[in-house]
Amino acid sequence: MMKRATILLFPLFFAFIALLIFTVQEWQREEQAEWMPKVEFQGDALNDAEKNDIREAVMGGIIPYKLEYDHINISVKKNNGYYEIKVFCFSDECEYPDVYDFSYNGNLVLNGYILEAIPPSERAKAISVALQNEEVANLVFAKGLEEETPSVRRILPETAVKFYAAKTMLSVTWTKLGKRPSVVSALIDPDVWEVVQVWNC
Amino acid sequence: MQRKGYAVVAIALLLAGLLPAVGLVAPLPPPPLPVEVMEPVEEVHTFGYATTAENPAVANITRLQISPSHKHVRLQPGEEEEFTVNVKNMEDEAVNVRPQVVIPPYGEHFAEEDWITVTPSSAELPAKGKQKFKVNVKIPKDAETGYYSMQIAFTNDTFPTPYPEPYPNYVNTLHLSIDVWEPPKIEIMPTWIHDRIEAGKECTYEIKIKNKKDEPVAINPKIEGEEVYGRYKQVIPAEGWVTISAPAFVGANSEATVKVTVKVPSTAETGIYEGIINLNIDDDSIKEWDQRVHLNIEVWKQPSTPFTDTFEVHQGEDFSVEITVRQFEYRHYGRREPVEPSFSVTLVSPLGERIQPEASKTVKTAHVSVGKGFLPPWEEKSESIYRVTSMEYTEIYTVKNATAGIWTLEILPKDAEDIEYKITIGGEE
Repeated sequence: MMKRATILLFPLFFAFIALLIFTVQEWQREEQAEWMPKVEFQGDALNDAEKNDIREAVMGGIIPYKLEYDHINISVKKNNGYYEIKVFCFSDECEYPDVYDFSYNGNLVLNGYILEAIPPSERAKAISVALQNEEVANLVFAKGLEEETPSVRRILPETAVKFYAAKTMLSVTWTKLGKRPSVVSALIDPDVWEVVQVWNC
Repeated sequence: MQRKGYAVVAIALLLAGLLPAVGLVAPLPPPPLPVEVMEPVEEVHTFGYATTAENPAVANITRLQISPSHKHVRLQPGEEEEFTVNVKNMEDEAVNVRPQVVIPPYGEHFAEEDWITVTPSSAELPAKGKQKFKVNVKIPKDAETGYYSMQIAFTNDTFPTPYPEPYPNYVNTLHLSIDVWEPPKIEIMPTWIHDRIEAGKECTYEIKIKNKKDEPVAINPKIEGEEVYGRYKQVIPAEGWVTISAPAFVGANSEATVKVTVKVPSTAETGIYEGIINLNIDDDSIKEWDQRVHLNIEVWKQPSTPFTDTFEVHQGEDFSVEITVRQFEYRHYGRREPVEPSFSVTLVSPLGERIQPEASKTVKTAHVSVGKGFLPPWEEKSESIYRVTSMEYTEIYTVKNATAGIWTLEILPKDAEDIEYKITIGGEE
C-alpha cells in the first residue's frame, strides 16, 4: 500500500520541482527584462546585422549614473565607411537625458557627451554643495546668475583626470548668454561632496 | 534742560578759574617751588590707542607676522583637519610665543577650546626667526551643525584702549572659522522654478522632497511673496494664483511630491512675477533659507491685435517682406524643446484690399546651446553635442508690380517671444 502511494507521489514531487524551477526562471527573466531599456533606432536605414552590431557596441559604451536608463534612442548616420552615432538615454527619474556622441567603424569612439541624467537628489545636492562654496556663491551673485537654473553634468573620468582625478565628477554650471555672457562653473567630487575647481568667464 | 545745566556748570567753572586772578582766594603769593623741566614728548593719539614718538601705532606690542591670518574649515561632526601656520618674529629680539585658543563670548555657536590643538604648545622665536605651528581642528561627534568662530592668539598682546574692554582683544591672532555641517538629510528638487505662462492659463510644477531620516518629517508649504527684489518684478499674489497640494508628512526614508499650480488670471498684467514657497519643513537639520523654492513666472499674453507698420511703394515696384518669430527654450520649465512659434500676416494695399499673402519661402531655424568659450574646461567634451535652445520661423512674401501708395503690414504672432521683420522695396528684376 505504502509502495503504491510512494510511486504515485514521485511524479507529483518531480512535477512540483519542475514547476518551481520554471517559475523561478520566469521570475528571473521578468526581473532582467525590467532592467532592459527600450532601444529605438533613428536616422539612416540599417539592416538587422548593422543594428545588432551597433546596439551591442553602444550598450557597452554607455554607463548610467546611479540610475537605470528606461529609454535609449540611437540615431545613426552613415558617413564614408563609418557611422556617426548619437545616443540619447532617458530615465523616467530624470528631467534631462544623457547624450553620447560616438563614431563607429568596428571600434566605438566617444567624441563627446552631455550627461545630465542624474538623480534629482544628486543634482540638488551638487547645486547645494556648489553654492556652499564661498567663491562660487560670490561669483554667482556678483554676475547676477542667482536666478538662472544651473546645469548639472557628469564628467567622465577620462576628462576629469585633467582637472582633478580619474573619477566621475559633477559639473555645476550657471550660464547667462547674451551680449555680455557670463558663466560660473564648479567641479565637484561627489564622493566627498567638495568643490575642487571653480571656473568663470 | 540738559543744555541749560551744562551752561550753568561751565559758567561756574569759569568763575572758579577767575577767583585767583581777582585775589579772592590767594591774597598772599605762594612760596616759589623748584621748577621741573619736562622733555617735550611727541604724542599722537589715534582712535584712543596709547602711542609713542618712535612708532605711534605699535606701542608695547610684539610684532608677529602670522600666515594665514584667517582660516576657514568645513568639517562634519567627528571629522578633523590639520593645517600649518607660519609665524615670523618681526622684532629685533627673541620672543616667546605661546598659542592659546580664544573663544569669543558671542556668535551663532560656541566652540570648545579642546577642539583645537596647536603644536608646539610654545616656542622661542629668535629675532626675525620663523616657526611653523600645526593646528589640528577636531570636531566632536555630538557637535551641533553651524558656524563657529574663534582665534588662536600667539602672544598676550592686546589692543590698548582708553576704556576697559569686556574681553581682551588680542593682536597676534589667527582667526579661525569652522563650518560644522552634515550632508543634507532632506533634499529638495528643484529649488528654482522659472516659467513663462500665458495669462489665463495655468501650469503645475512638482517639487520633490526626499527625507533620508529614519523618522517622518512634517511639512506645511506656503507661498510667501514679501521678499522680492528688483525694479520690474511683482509679487505673485498668495491668494488666487497659487494652489499647493502636499502631504502633511514626508515619511521616513521616502519621497513626497508637493504640487504647485500657478493659475494666472486672464486679467493679469504682463511682466515678471516672483514668489517664494516656504516648504516649512519641521526639522532642525535644514535651514530656513534652504527650504525655500523660488518661483519666477513671466506672464505674457497672446496679442489679440496685430502689430502694424506702413511703407511706401512706387507704381510697379516689387517688394518683399521677411518676417521671423522666435521662441526660446530657456524660459520653459522642464520642457525639452521650445514651442514652435507662428504668425499670421496681412498686407493692406493702398486701395484698402486686405491680402493674405502666400509665402514664397519659409525658413525654420533652430539655435543651439552654448558654444566654445562659454563652457568650463571640464565640459570640453560637450562641444560636439548641440541642443536646441531656440526656434525661429521665417516666411518671405514677395509682391510684384505693386500698386503705388502706402501699404500696411499687419503681423499677429502666436507662441512667439519676439518678432523681426524686414521690408525690401525695389531691387533687381
